[in-house]
Amino acid sequence: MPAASAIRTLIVDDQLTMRALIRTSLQQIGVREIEEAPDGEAALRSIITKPVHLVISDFNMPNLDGLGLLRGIRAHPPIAKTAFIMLTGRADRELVQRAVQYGVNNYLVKPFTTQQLKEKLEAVFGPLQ
Amino acid sequence: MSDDPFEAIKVTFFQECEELLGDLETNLLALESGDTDIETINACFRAVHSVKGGAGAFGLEDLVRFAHVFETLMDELRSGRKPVDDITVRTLLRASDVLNDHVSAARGAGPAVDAERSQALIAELETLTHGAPVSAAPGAGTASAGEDDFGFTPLTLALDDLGGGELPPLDLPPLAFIAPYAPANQEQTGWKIVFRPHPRLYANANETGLLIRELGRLGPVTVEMDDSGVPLLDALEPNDSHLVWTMTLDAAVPEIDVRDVFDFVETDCDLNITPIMSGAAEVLPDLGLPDIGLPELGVSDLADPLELPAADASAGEVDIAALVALAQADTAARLNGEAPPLEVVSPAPQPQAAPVAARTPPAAAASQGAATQAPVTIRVDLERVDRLINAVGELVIQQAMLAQRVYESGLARSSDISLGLEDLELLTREIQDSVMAIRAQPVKSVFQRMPRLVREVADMTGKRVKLITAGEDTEVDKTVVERLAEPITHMLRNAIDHGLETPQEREAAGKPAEGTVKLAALHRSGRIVIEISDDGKGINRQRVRAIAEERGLITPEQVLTDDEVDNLIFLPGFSTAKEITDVSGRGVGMDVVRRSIQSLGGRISISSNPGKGSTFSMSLPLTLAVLDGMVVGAADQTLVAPLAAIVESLTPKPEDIHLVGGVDPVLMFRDEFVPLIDVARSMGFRDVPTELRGGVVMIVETEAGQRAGLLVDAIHGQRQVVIKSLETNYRHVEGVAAATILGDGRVALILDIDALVTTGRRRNSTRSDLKMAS
Repeated sequence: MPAASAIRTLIVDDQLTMRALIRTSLQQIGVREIEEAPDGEAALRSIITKPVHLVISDFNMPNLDGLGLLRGIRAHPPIAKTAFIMLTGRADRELVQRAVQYGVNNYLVKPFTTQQLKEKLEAVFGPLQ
Repeated sequence: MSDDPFEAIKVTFFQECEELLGDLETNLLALESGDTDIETINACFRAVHSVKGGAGAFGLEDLVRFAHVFETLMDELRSGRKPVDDITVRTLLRASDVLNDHVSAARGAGPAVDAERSQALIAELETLTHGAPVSAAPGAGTASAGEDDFGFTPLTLALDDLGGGELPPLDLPPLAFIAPYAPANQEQTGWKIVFRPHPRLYANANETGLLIRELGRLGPVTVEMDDSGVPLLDALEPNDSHLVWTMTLDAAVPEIDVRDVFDFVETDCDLNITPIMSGAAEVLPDLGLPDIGLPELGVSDLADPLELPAADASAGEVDIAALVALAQADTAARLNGEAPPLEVVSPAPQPQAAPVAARTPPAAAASQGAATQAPVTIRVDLERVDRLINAVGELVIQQAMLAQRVYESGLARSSDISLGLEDLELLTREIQDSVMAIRAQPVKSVFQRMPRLVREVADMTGKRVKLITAGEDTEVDKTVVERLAEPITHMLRNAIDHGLETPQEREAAGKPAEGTVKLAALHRSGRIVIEISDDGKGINRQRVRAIAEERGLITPEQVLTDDEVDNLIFLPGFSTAKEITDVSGRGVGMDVVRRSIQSLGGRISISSNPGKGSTFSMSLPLTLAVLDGMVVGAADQTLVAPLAAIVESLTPKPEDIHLVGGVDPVLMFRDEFVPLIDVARSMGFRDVPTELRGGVVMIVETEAGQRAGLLVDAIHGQRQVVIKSLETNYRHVEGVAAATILGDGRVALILDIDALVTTGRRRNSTRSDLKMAS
């Protein structure tokens, strides 16, 4: 049973608001180490020098979108096993399918509650302490 | 700040909304001008999508509903299922206006949204999207459509049963690019040791310092101590162990050597020894999970086009650019609808194994450049900036006081001291300028609101207008930016309503049916200049003259230049519209615009070319925090007159002074009589009239263009002063605009020229005993 505080997380969203919301929810769950990136490219750069256990990423972003980021992560062996939760504004079936195809671990539909986020985390990591 | 973190985030959300709506408008206008680039459409989509996303998080239902319909249409355009035509773009522009209203309403910063208008636009958007409105009943249909799409019913994704159940099985080729995870090709460069001693370790007379020293024999060691576990003093148990040490050994020695160091204490501590690999700056602590792993999704054993060579990883420089390029190429293909998204057969377009030499393919280099160019910004509470500005204002005053004291004490003769003082002054000025620059903002935020206004006024007047803006990035103090909106709005309305002709008139005059209004901002000699020009009919001077005469503003005999005639429209009580139109009327004339600009220390003028158009131009100071002033003495007081108001200064000759009707003193100035105001008396500093002998008269011009002479005892000099509000520190005093602190530490009042001229005249006319020193 991993401790939530041990999960180092990177939040990727072009919107400051969404990043702040996700960060607040994560903190309520007990996640301590939280990084942020405004788009896929910045996330990829960050994650390569500072690996994380989990990426929570929006889909639609400038520069490099969530799927591009996912692909980049999975294509690079040292970070390929990073857990990835995709945020989607709509329950877009096609997007989710593609994300699954790209190796997403789970996805979360906005707007979400802290409890929903926690459930997604637990689906990936198992029950959290 | 609210205790509720979500309330604070909500504030951020609305700030962000402003930017998003600005982006939306900019991009929609780009679409309107024919730039139907996929990235432009996508940027529009993203803006609306982000507004909706945030609104959803805060439960702003009306906003979500509207944004959703908007977004759906944007999505159709984005996917190419719908063409980007004129009607669509125009509808989108109007929809963005309503979206703006929704955001303002949700923020509590605007009136409630016009439900009818909102509903009508929803219907229009739906018609464009689906060919017909989804529902006739307000809200009902859209709400259900929203629910479906928002997935308020959570869709739990069990990754292993994706093949069946709700989602259809994937009929896509297996992934080519996911290489089997192999931690190979990495070189170990050292060890990371996380060491948490148990109390027993200390009880056994072991010590962390000794262990670190021992470890240091193996190679260079960096140590970090985490004392976050140390409780507050009253809860501190001295025999407990609270510290966690993280040691980084920069030497690839065998693990056994490292373990040896901790051999004796291993049972008395938590010890975690992990290898540090090159390629990643840090080693991720192991979560102790069996494998959070990749879903088994047909990972192919095809070579990964991006598998990085060992050399690359060992250099610690991962080829991010190539990774990004790959990901971006893939994204682009997806956005352009080029299926399938994944190449199964051959990873041809990628360079051979992306060697280090080919690290920057052009596309990646470009995007990298863009990434580094993006300015890094922080958001700071305005109050903090103002506090800083205030402190710097004090610094400027202190510096001036110090300089004055040094000179008075004669110390300045020592060249060391005077050099030091000069440096201090330069530095102070530089700090002041830098601080002012913090408050400086581009006028973009105001300019961005104008296209909407132009659209609405054009609709109302039946004119066709194209707005061109220039110099949006021109920066000016935040306070000035905020107060620019009103005069610009007014002048734009005026330009469209009065300046531009109807399409028929324009065509008859051989002009394009669509009129052009240009809004530009530029810096000119330490001030910001805003110009609003139109290619309309220009000012009808005969009519302006006739009206001015009719209203008694000028006499029929008065000889005026063309420019003077044009500028008559700024006089109070002047309005050329025969009937006050709904647009530029509202009982507010150009005189109000002029007054609001002058209250900012600015000036406005108009130049016109009959048949060709007119140009309004206003110039404003870049900041309201400092003022160029003339320091004068009246009675025993030191006063500051705003330099901008002073036309010239002169020593009055007794023969130039006359009494009008035996009451009002006037001064003959350039063949013109101007009222003469005795400042010391007018301000109540002195009961007896000021002696003319030795006195000085400043000819000033009020905001309304009236001239007057201010009689003072002496002029001390010209100086830049820091403005301190009198209202904040004391209360409003008639005739005084603000205060400042002079170099010698005394407070000096800054004269409110307009008020002084008005009241001064009144006082003069009630007491006619200004003594003529003849």
